Amino acid sequence: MRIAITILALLLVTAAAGQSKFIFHSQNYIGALGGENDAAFQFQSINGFQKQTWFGGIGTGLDYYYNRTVPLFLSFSKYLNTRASTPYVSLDGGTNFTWDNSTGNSINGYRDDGHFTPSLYYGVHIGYKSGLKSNKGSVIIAAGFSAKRMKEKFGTDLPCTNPPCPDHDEVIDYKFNRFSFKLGWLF
Amino acid sequence: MKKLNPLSWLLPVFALIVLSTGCMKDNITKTYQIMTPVYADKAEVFANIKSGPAQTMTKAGKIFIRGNYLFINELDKGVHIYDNANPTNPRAVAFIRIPGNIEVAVSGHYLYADMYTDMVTIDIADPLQAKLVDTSFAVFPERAYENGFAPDNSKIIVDWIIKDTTITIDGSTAGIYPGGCPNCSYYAVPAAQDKANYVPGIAGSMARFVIVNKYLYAVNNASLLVYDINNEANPVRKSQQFLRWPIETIYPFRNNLFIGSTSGMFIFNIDNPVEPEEVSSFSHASACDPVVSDGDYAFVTLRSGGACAGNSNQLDVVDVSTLVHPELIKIYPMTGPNGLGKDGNLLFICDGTDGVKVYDAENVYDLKMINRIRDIDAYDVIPWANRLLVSASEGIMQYDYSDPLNIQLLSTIRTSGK
Repeated sequence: MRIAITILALLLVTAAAGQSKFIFHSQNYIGALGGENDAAFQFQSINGFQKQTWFGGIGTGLDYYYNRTVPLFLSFSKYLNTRASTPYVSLDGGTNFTWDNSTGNSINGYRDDGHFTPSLYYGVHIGYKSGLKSNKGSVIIAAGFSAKRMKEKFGTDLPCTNPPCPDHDEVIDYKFNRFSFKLGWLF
Repeated sequence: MKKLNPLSWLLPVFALIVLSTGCMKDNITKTYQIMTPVYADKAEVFANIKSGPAQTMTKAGKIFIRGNYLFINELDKGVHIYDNANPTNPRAVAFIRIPGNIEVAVSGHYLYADMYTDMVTIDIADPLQAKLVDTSFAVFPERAYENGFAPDNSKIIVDWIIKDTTITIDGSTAGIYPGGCPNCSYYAVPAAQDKANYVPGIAGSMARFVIVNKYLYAVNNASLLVYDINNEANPVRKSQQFLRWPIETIYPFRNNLFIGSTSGMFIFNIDNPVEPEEVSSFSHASACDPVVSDGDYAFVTLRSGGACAGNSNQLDVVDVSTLVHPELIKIYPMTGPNGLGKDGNLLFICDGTDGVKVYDAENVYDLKMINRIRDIDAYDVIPWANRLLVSASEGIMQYDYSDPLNIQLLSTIRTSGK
């Protein structure tokens, strides 16, 4: 993932430096996520370059669904045309990190040494970009599907009060599928 | 061509997406191990309690030092025997297969070990030709059941078949441990006792077996048992006293036993060795608490979290110069202390991932940490004659602490993990 981001960043920077057709844009969203187990707030900031009707960038933000996580992803958008106001589709893919790496929903005394590992994050949206007057950017609105995954591993030491204790690990694999609605500002 | 208002198509699309959220299901799975016991007939198990070839250590348990030998428990498997004549190069000699074993103690030519609920006596005059000579039944009754798992008591569990299993769980309960830990067992290791007294061997601060003057004292969860081992080959139970709190460890010093429980410490006098007399007790917050003493002071580490519950991680220094009135005189914060040991003015404390802390304990009101053995997750220590034996998740380490400010690693017996 790090390598992919690095390569993309290098490509974008190189392209931006070499060709004036690449224009920097920043998409900044707030929004809601809804799914089977939760309804939650999300924030995203995607920064990258646009060439004609294509946009590519790196995104991060906050995702409060079930457990607060920080997604880090590549984002690609395709605008229908080059006008100031236009529909678009976007595709995001990357990973997400839990805000607090220690296990979240534990009952005291039943867990030990739990931790999350970064896992898959992706989404697909359709949206509309509405250009503002005086060239002050655009309002962007999008809706679609967002998925995040978390893996939580923990050991138990019940009822071993006198170490060393037998190993006993469990892994919980969370796969969340959510409706995503985002409203933001592009400049 | 008429320009299409974006709202005329965007809103229906959004509405369609919102309506489809009912179809969006989270998928949460839990993967754990199902452990199926492998049984063997008791007769077969007893017949196999003898020396076998040395084996690789997978998880170091309690240790007992006797002469030039180290006896190291392998959780639920048996006892490794190491020739430790050269501490810089301990040599694996043999392995005695004892299913369900956690505790070990040695007197003379006999090794005493638990085997689930029972205690076996093994002749180790020749460690390469060890053989079972006696069995005491129902010493540790709490180990008849493993967290609600009721084994077939007509047989003995000799192994477990472990199989990964994945189930789908409800998101509202995900991450909440439902209880049940089929292979959890009770564990512990050893510390330096009163050198002036008869010491048939050395155990650590987390031991549940100790031997003083030809008597073996064992604690189970609820009681203190006394075995007469004047005839070492044939331990005879002399008494059993039920105690108030869940018991964890036992540590002898002179004619007293310091018994650690999850709620406090008992002091028993053993002037009458077959009928220990409770002298006093000292209560503390609920926590796991091995204890050692130098006669004037008792050092009690309190560890919280996990099965230990509570929220204290500390060292309690208790004045026991007047045994009938133990008095807490000082508390030192710790990270996650386990076993401890004392030799002269040096106090060694296993403090979880902080490693082993070495204190100058000349003034117990002002303990000074003078050294620290880092990068090991230690459970217990045995300081003895300038040689520190450490039981850690990484293995068994031996150190030379003749210069406490410059502790030297002598050797490591590495464990192979699971």
